[in-house]
Amino acid sequence: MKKFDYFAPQNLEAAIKLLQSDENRIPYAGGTDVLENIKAGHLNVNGIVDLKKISELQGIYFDEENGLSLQALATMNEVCEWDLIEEWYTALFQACGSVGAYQVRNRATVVGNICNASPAADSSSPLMLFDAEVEIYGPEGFRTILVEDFFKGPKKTDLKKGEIVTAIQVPLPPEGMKSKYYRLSRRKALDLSAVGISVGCFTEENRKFFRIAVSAVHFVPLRIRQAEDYLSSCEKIGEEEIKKAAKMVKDTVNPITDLRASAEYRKEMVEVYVIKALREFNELEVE
Amino acid sequence: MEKKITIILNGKERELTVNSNETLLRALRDKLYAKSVKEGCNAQECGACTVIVNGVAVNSCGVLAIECDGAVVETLESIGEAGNLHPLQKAFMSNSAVQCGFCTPGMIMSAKALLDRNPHPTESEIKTALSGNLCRCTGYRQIIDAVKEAAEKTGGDHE
Repeated sequence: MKKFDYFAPQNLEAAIKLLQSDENRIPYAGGTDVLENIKAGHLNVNGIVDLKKISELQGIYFDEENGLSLQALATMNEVCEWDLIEEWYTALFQACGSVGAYQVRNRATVVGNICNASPAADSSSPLMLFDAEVEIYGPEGFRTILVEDFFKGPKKTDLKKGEIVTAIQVPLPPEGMKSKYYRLSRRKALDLSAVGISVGCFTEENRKFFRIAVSAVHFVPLRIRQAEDYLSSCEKIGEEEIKKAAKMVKDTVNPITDLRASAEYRKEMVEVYVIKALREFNELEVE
Repeated sequence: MEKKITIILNGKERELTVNSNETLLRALRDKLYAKSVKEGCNAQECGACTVIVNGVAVNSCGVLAIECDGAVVETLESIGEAGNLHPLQKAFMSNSAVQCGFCTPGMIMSAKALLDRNPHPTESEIKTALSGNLCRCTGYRQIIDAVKEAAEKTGGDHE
């Protein structure tokens, strides 16, 4: 492995100063992506700034007013082992539990997952489903941006020089909202997803509303509002409407071919999964 | 850069000097002679290097030694002794869960981490806990049965 300096600042300010003073330094938490990229020679850095000693970056908080607050160091296992998250944010719970394998999930962080910004990031579509926001701290102070707008391209985010993500804020979902994460991959563990979709459903004034977000089928994870709006405009949702909505998703995405799946297969399967999900949710009794 | 660190390895304080780009895996094998820890892939994809750090099962190839100053680290060397093996070791033997043996230390450490936090795991919980440990020999059935048996022997009353 190429040599690099190692820093373990005790607070946020010190971390930002370290990142600012050499632009070839990178924040480091679980290292499940960063360390492997350094080993493979994909990442050439002079130094890593270990965030794990910064206490305000630890923890996951939930209350029924503000929703869920995932601090930067919250690991995948911390998310997928909390029954409150399973109840309120089921798609996120399931997605985090599908990442890598048990040992990886003890180190991998949700914030790291979105900062690595693979278009296949499992936590991306559930976070977008719930309109989550990214909280960022840098030389100019704090700012927030929607997770949806945070992804700029494959492995590219909105982060500027010297900035780090401090937390992800997930608002309380609409009352009674149910959600699920669907994932297509060759193995049950230790594999990236070839297609990822998050679907949610809630009822308001006797009408069913759907939310649909996808990953691994486009150059960034996407929320497909066109299909959502179409479904909420339907008087009644049956097979025809479901197939129409699924086709909208299929026509919106532009996947690539890589070693996990071809572009054609991804397009076919995203439609299959949307139909499957909408059928399941349509039959569900949503309060 | 180099740093002198202290790791509490299997109950003993050990001092060592490490490079910032040295994994915990290499430090354990090369400097602390914990040879049970195996390098299978060096890419956090096989689990052969699984150890327990501060109570948590991790791939030691994915942890930097320099992060572990003051950490409590457990490897296979911490359990059982000749003539008095740990229930996990006994169960692996009696269930034929060891063929070439290369995955075994990582498997046992993942299983130990599971039983430490959940003494009565279901089969599904066992599979999840071992999901990051690959075995090319056994087909996993014998390994899962071994963990079940060890849980029964150590967990006390079982529903």
